[in-house]
Amino acid sequence: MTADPTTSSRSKHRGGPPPGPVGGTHRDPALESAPPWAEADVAFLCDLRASGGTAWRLEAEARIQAQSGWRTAFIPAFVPEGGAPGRDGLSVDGPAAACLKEGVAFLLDPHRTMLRTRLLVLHGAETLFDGLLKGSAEPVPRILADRVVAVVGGSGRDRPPLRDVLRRDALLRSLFGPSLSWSATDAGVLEELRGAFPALGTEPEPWLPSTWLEPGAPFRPGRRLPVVGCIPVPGAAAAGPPAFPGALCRALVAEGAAAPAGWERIEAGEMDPVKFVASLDFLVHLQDGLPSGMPLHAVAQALVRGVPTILPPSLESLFGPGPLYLCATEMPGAVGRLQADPAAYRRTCLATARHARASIGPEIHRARLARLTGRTPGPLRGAARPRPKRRPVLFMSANEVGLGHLTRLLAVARRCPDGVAPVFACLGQGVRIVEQVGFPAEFIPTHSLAGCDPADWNAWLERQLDDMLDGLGVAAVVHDGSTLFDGLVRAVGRHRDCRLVWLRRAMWRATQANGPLLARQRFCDLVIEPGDIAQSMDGGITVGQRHLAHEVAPIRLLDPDELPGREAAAARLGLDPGRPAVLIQLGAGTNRDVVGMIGAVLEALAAHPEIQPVIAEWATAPPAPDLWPGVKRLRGFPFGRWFNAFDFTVSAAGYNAFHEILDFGLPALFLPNGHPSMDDQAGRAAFAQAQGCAFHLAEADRVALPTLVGALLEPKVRRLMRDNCRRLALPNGAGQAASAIASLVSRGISG
Amino acid sequence: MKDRPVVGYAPPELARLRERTELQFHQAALAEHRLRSLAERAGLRPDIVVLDEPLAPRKPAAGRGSGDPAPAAPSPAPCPDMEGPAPRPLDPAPGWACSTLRGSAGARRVIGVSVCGFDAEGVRRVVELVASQQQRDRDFVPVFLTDCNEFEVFGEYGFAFEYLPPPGRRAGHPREGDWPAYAARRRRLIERKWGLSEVIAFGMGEFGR
Repeated sequence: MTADPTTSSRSKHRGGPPPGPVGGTHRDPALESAPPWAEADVAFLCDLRASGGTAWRLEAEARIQAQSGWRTAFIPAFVPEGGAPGRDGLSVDGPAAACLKEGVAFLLDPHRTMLRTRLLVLHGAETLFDGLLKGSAEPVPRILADRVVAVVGGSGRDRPPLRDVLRRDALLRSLFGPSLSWSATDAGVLEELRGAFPALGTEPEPWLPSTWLEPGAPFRPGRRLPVVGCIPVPGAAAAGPPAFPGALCRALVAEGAAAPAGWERIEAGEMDPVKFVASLDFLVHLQDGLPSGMPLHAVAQALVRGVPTILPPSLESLFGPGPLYLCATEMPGAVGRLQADPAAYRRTCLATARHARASIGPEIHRARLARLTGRTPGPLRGAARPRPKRRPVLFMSANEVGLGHLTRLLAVARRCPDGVAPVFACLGQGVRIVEQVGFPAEFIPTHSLAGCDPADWNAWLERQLDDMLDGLGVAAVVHDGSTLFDGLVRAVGRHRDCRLVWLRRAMWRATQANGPLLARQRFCDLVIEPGDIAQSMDGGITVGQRHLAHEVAPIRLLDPDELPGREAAAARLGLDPGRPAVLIQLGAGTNRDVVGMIGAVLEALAAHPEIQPVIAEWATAPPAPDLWPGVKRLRGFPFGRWFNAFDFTVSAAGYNAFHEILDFGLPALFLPNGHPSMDDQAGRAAFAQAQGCAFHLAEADRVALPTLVGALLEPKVRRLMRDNCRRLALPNGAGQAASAIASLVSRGISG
Repeated sequence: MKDRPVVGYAPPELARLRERTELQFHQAALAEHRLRSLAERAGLRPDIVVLDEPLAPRKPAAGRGSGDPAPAAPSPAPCPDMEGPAPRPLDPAPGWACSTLRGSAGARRVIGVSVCGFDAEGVRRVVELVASQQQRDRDFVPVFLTDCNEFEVFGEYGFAFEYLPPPGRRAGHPREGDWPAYAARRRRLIERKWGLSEVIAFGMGEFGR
């Protein structure tokens, strides 16, 4: 790492050099070559890899300081020789890393930079500099601080053993000067310190938790189904979980903790706790034990956000007014009553937030800062990074077989309002199409495309998405595909201000075991289900989940006014508009024998020499050898734009082709793709035939092709099909989906 | 007698499948070549219509045009590289023509092959060249780094590849304004992702620059 950006040459003249190395023979050449100075209002020296209570306290206090206009430095408690902080993940992780990424604090490399600060806080002081106390060499950061507070963490079950307190006190004074006092996050521990070590300088009050506020609405809008969440405490047995009828129950589970039976489980690494509580309508604590560490801070976040929080009565002495205190059996009734009465729910939200902000809000820490530094922090302002008016939204498609997922995303992106700036991440070969439509595109090859191990690939997907979400400032990821990949879930789950939207078409086949795939919708902020004209044939697993999705009309890439008329379309394709033309579009050919089927169709058409057959070749498929010389081939995107050049089509029954055909009234013979991994194309084709819109032919019944082709050449048949298509046509739902996404990203995570 | 190395050992059925894939790839390539030659001799030219018309955005009044740039992304926070420990590098597919390289015990390097500034035909020629070199040496697996958005040839040969747009196709990208820094970060990530031992470059263009 080079010098910190906050380093100031002016500051070199303020004060002398800090104390030199202590304990052992360590000599840092950086000291002799006059390292640069940095300045901060408050510096935290602690283990920045931690993910427990200290880490959450650090984040809360750093955010409050940033919102007060104060500059914060993070100093890793111990950096291995030769390694810079943050490199190789040795020193910074979890909430501290998030603060650094957002610019809430800066990282000080103690090997290369000296620091002057008004206040130095040593969080987790009970274990700091253990190496020096044992006589081993350990590099020491050089800090000039006006005031130093050593804070002992933990309480209750996590109460730390108080070892070597006086020796440690002497060491810290020798390192950072005499203006050092001790405090503890727990009042009992502070009392114990005072009793056991009367000579120790202690603060008049414990270092109480203080939680920052995110800008945004203090309460959530009502949902059809409320989401009740809990964060079990590791090691504590879960009380018998009550049933919450009509609610979704989700548990955020840290290592060593047990989720209540029957609740949806989200691992701690899959979603940031603050994001988790912000997604809830109710937070409940089902254990009698005291929450600590991450669960405690999540409860605090829920309270200041105004998420109605229901705790067991035993915790009333800890949290005071604000939460509802009920035993487990009474919780479901309270949730039901509040959900049924929006006005009462809103009043509860506001009261929860009001009480919590008084008892654990940012003013607690701000008053502490004022007392310790003699300066009043500036007025609280909003988030550290202002949101731009137009926010990038990443449209991510997993098109490995055809172009269906990508086409739906393009349909929505084309209709996004001004607040949304679409960017695409193509996991398959769709980059050229995206760029043709006019959107910027990134490429992340799927494991199947790159031929590598899926688990390894997911780890890199997470890394690559993480990079993109940070680098592009992405407000939401809109994924179209049947699998919400682990890497996707984890990357988005870690970004508090990034939403996850699943654009999930229906008609999953009933024979597929898709329960685990579908259950991953628990990670989503919004599930959009585009309608399907053949919905009445849907026997798939998503039918039972429709009430959790935002339903829109069937999504189409094109609107009717974008299709040139017959003469113009035929001219573009080099066809004679006076002769019948047939479009053969049977898919990309990645999972069925398209070549054999095209051969069979052309053979059936050969009996009618007046027909002009045209083969549609998928833009993402390798160029096929010219097996049928003299037959025109189309390459590119989208084929639907040129439908008016044709009299009928022989087509697969994928979502997009099916809806374009019916909505644009093109007579069709459907040859559905029956591959076990596909959606229920046969169901769509059967529906269209039952409605008189098209013929349906299973692959095994190719022998009937000549008969059906003959029927489609009858003008009366085609007219009837067109009329029936018009009867079923629905408006385009792409605009509705775009509006839902825009509305989602326009709200902060509190909204 | 030395033990058979565990790394690279493939079950017999899988090994046979790879051998068959490799063989059939070569036979199919030859058959396609013969077919094209015969068609050309017979004067049969493919009749292909390429559909590449742009699509205008469809949005309410005051919508943005497709060329309207996205907002600049927020400036990165002043902090050092926070990448942390990298996952283990991916093991890219060796390509259809050398399918048996995967599962063989010999050491092989993963090499980045930058092929930028070419059209699809130019890229194809480089891929063919690298594929024949690979068949001779059988000691490396290429990962192509390209700025050409026509990817079909990579699928045809079964090679892994990465893409970053060339200067002319970065309009509207949220990081268009500070592209060099963004692309440098992407290149670093790609190098670590595949564990590239080196990058060799064809053509004048440089990947992501």
